[in-house]
Amino acid sequence: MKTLTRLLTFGFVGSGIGACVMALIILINGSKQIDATELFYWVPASFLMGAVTMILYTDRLHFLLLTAIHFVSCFGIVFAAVSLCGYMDTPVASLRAMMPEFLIIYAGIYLAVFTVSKLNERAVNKALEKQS
Amino acid sequence: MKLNLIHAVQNEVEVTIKGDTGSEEVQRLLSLLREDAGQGMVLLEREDERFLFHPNEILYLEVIDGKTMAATSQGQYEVKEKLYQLAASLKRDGFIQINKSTLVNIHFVKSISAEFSGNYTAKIKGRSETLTISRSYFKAFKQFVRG
Repeated sequence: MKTLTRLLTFGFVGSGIGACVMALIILINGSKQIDATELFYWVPASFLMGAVTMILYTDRLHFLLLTAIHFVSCFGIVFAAVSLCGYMDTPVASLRAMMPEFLIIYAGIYLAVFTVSKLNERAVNKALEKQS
Repeated sequence: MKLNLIHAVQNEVEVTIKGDTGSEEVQRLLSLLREDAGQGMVLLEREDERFLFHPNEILYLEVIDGKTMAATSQGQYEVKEKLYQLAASLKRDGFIQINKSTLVNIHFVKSISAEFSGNYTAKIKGRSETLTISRSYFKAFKQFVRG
């Protein structure tokens, strides 16, 4: 029950983020850019991506592996949504368009997380030095 | 319970508990002593012998094969209490949980280092072994260290 509640929370947060992204796209490009059918695909896709994010909070696996699993999962979800919305003519074209962006985003995420942990390390060591 | 009070001229008050030291009665007595004396003592065991240790003599506590073990400068001892009980009772003595099965005495943590795995490694003062601080316990650890 606790896990289900957590999963739903992550899913709804994902949907919220997805809704914000879509609202931003509408604001920038005008309402004609997104129709109801697309919303029908992107809202559940955002929910799923949010739910998948829950795995990043587990301790059981190496963070790099978790990031890779998250990458593959989200890539699959976005690929499905892009294909269903018919943005690209062929699946290969979708893969080519998506892959570089995904690689940059995930490299950025991993780097940011590692930088934050290094900053945490410094802060804690400073506090430990003060104590001794 | 039989109570013997023996007057003796010595600097330190000596308390000897004779009987089943693992019994609830003894554990209650120990917790009373802890509270009244204002200094917690932890009952540790090794090879059927029992010892009272002050928490500041314990480097860390960890669960190994279902047993709670205490690491001290004099070696490893077994503790009868569960880790979650120790986590609650030893918090004010500087003990904090750093992963599912380890409590560390913050006074013995020399430094930490961030790992690529997302976890952190804690170095223990004067010892070669390191302990893992898992991601989910790090936030509480950081707050605890920074007071």
